[in-house]
Amino acid sequence: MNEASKRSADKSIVKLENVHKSYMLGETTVNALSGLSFSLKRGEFIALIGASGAGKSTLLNLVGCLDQPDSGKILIDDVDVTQLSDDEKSDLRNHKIGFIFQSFNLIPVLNVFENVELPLMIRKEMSVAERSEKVRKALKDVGLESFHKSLPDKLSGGQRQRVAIARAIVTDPQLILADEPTANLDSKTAHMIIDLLHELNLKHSVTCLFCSHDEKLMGRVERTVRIKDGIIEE
Amino acid sequence: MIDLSWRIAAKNILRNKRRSLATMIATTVGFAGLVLLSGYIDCVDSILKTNTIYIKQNGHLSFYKKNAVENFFSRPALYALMSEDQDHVYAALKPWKNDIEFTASVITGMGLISSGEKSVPFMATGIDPEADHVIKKHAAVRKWTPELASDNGGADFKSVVSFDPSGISITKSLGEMIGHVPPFNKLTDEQRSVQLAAKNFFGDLNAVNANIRLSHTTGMAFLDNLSVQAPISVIQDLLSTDGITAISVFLKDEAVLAEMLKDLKQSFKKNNWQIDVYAYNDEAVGSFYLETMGFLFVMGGSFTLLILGAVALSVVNSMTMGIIERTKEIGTLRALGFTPRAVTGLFAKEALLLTIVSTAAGAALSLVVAAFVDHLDLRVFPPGTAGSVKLWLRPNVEICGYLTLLFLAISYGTSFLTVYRKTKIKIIDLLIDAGA
Repeated sequence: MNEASKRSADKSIVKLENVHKSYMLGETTVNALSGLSFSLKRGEFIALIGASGAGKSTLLNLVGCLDQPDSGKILIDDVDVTQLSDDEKSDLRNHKIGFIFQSFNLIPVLNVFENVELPLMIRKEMSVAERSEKVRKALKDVGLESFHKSLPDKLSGGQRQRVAIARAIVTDPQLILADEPTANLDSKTAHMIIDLLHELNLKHSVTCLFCSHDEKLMGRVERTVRIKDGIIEE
Repeated sequence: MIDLSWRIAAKNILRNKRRSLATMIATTVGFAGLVLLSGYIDCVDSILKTNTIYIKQNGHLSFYKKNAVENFFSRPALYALMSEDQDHVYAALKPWKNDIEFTASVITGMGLISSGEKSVPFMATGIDPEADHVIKKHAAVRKWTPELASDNGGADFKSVVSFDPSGISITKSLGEMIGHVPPFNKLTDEQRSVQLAAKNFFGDLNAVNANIRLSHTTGMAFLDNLSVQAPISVIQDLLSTDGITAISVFLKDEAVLAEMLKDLKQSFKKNNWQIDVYAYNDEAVGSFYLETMGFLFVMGGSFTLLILGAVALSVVNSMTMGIIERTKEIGTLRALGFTPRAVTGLFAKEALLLTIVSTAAGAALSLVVAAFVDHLDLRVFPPGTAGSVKLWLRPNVEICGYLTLLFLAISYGTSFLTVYRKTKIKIIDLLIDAGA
């Protein structure tokens, strides 16, 4: 690794500074994150663990620009995303972040190929041929080339999650955020999914942050971050 | 290859077939109804326009002595177009000679027609027999008002004056009022003979003998009890004048009308010629046409608004149900980087696709209904016209095009407004939605 790459690898891709986030639950204010500070280096493969309600999903949603903090800074690639407009955040999500959801969130009427192609269709600069090539490559990476015409409801849970992973990596993101990606899967499939994510993390040097409450998966990650009552306990 | 966004739209339409079909039926029937209604209004417009221009012999343009439209009947001598005025009109028309199909002189007068037994008032139109011949055979008249021109077994004033310069035409109802039952070709010479009496241009009572040779209809209910048509020379004799009321100009193509009207007005003003010129749709000479069409347009407009409202509600309903069921998908799209506008665009494409298919089906349905009505050969009584005419429901391609654009705009607008608001909801709230 030369100096430049080393500097680049050392640099944080995500940095949260004193982030607060609270919700109203009826008439009660729930502090989901209480002055949380945290950073994520390029190429890291990190599991975020914690009990239900600890603030894992809230943290992921804030990093993914799906929600706005009450206060604090969230820097992605040195850009404070809390200051971005809605359209700028959309653009950032499309170009830099890939999402994997617990319940896959595939579009049921679209086949596997079309589901994976979805995030690329808003890239006006990309030709149809380029898009198709990228989709084929992503499906190959997750081992689903032969299922490209299948509808999601014809696939198993593990296959659906692999489609979701292909959809997340097809845009060549710098960061993949996965919210409980194995929660709906049996343990064998869950291990396969985590291994696949790790493989892609190594192959594409993409930073992965996923949250899980499954302690058994923690042995397969490089770094584990524990969150409790809205505070990081590494 | 079809763009992915259109494929998504098509697949989403098929996602809930029953709802899509209901929206499509509402749009199809609404579109077909509007096309047929506009076809009917278009047909009535053509009938009334043909009647105003050709049957009434107003022409596309009519020339009167200044202020004659208001004053001719009270002071005809002062407001008639005399030969010098007629020369001015023809001089002004010279630059437009290539656009003119033919011209006709017209004189009008009022008086009493007497069969010896009964006398009733009449309103006479003295017409040029040559122009009458051209009008009766004119393509527009043959197409739109054949019923108004097909009496008398093909005979017209041109053929009548060749053997009877005093031959006149009266309406059937006027004939009945003076004791003659149509058809008039069965009348004896004695029955045929009538006397026309009127106050002439000099204020004296005058009368001429005439023979009923033809029957006609004015095409207008309120005139059919009064109308007499005669060669222009008969009415000039009756009114003791060589003047006329108006010159009518019939154009080859109506497209030049506005420009020609403007030019002629300027020409009369520049030369200080005391002539008024009117287009057939000017209130001064075509009030019946204008008022009738005005009424039909208001009626058509009201129906259009009602149907568009129903279509808009149908699209809103379909879209609202769609976004309730697909809230989580909207959240997913937003998470993948779709802007609110891009998500709305996907839904709007669904509405547009549904509308395109529905309007095409509506156009096809209107053609089928029009062909069926044509086959039934139904007769209708257009407002204010005398007698019936064939019901024409000819879908007009241009109107179909405008209606399609209107439907597309409505469906795009309503779907955009319905969906856009939803896309502005916080993404995490969209993502946790359990759906319908």
